[in-house]
Amino acid sequence: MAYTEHAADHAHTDHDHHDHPPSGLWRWVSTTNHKDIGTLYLIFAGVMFFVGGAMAMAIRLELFKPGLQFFDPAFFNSLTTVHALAMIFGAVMPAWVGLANWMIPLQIGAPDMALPRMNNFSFWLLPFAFTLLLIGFFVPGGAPAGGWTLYPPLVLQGGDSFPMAIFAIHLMGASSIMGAINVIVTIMNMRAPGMTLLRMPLFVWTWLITAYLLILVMPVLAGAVTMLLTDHFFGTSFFSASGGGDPVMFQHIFWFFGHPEVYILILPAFGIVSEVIPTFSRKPLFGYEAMVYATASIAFLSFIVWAHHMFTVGMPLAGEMFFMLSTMLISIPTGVKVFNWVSTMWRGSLTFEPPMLFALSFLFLFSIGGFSGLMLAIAPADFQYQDTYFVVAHFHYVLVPGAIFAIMAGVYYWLPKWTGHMYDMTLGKWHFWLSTIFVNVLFFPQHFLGLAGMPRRIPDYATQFADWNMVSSLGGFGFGLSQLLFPYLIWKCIRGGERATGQVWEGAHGLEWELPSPAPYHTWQEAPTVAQIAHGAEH
Amino acid sequence: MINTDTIEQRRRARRTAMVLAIIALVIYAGFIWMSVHRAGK
Repeated sequence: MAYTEHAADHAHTDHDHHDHPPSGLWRWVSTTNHKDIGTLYLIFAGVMFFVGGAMAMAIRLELFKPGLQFFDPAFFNSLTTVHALAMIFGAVMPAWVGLANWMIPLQIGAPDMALPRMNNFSFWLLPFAFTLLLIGFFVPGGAPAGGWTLYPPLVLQGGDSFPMAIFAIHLMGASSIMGAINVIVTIMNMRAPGMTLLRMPLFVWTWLITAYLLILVMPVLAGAVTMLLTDHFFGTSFFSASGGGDPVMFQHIFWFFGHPEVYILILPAFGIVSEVIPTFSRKPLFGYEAMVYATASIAFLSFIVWAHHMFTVGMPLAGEMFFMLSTMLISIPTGVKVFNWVSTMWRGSLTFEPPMLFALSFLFLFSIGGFSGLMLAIAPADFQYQDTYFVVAHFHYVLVPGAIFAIMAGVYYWLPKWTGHMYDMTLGKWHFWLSTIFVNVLFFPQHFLGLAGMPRRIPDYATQFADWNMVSSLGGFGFGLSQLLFPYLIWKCIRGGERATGQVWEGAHGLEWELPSPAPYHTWQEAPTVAQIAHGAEH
Repeated sequence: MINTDTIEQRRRARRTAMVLAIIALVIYAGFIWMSVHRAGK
């Protein structure tokens, strides 16, 4: 076992005074404690992961064999649309905000987030937003069915759920912007003395850059959906050609938000992997500063690549060349990261606990998603791939064994710090192996289906696609069922288990590991010493 | 124990938050404003 006794248990026991959180439901409604709010975000994300996952199971059930089996096509389209919205805005983003709430104050030596009441408000907007989105299934016309990209004019033909979805998106956007503001002002104003920017853990750095991306692009999405609303109800013609508007303009605006959004989902994952790999390699992170600059470069490039999502709408050749080449440029800073992670492991003393296993799986499988992204970046080739299952395979490789596996790595990494107990390592490894095997069975065949020409977002397909669809569905059911191990393991860990030490993992360095486990309700009310920070900042 | 430095930190944080919120609102309004002008062409 890699976790050992450590003297850090003796550090900062003075935090224990008045360390009793209020009890009952009101604690969770009114809390301004960053740990409570982090927990609320993570629980919400977990619930939405299973809600969105249930929709994915239904989609794979329908696609198990050709022909319409269970659902009518309109309902199928609603499933794909709401699955995406639930997973992106309900599962992955809140999970990142939850991890940020829990860990950023601990990692920078701050007593809490800078704006705790706004923190509470930004969380409690989310349950209302997603209730609005999900009850769309029960109103005339059904839930939104035009795809998560909300392209007009299709989306304007939706039923009564259309304005509900627009309001829900506004609420989640407001929540994300408030969360991002809180992260930025916390990191910029609340760092302990001695915690210089280039001593911050990579998770904090990647979140800082992500927060700036959020503030710059969430208002763009809000603007786009506001214009959809006025086109639908107030007679404007922003996106209607008959009134002098332009539907393609919506695509430009949406993807100006949408591409940075992809990096919002993945940059914190880079941060987690940059924490986990050095810990379980027992070596400092290779190229810390290069990692920071690579993250910033990726964030910058994300603003100048958006039209690679719309090569087929028709644009000047020079535009296609620009967006093709700028997209390919992203592989350079991403390559820097991948090589730095591999270099960190080189000649390290590696052990393979669940966080490391998920981080390694991330490294391999996210790279596969990156390579298929490079294929999609080639404009003439993209004309073949556009709107096929190849695209579905690509972005699921980036988001499932990418973002979601990194979230799992983060939870497995910090769970002993949160609960004070070690979890069941064997069960965690079962969860890892089942997830990794089934995620490949689920998504790899979708590359073949796409290259053979199967379109995305269809409930029925030609018989030539039957075999790989069946394999993909079996992988989907296996992946979905294996995720049930995760909440069970967490529940078991909360209930009890071997006591975790302060440092938890033998190779862990950072301020959060200087605290006892579980982290007291109030931490760093007195700023950590420079010596503690220097110990924690061994990159 | 409340750290007085923390109170000063939070004051600065509120000011930064206001600036960031204004930036977000300007981007929101700016994109709609640009779209109004483009859609009219």
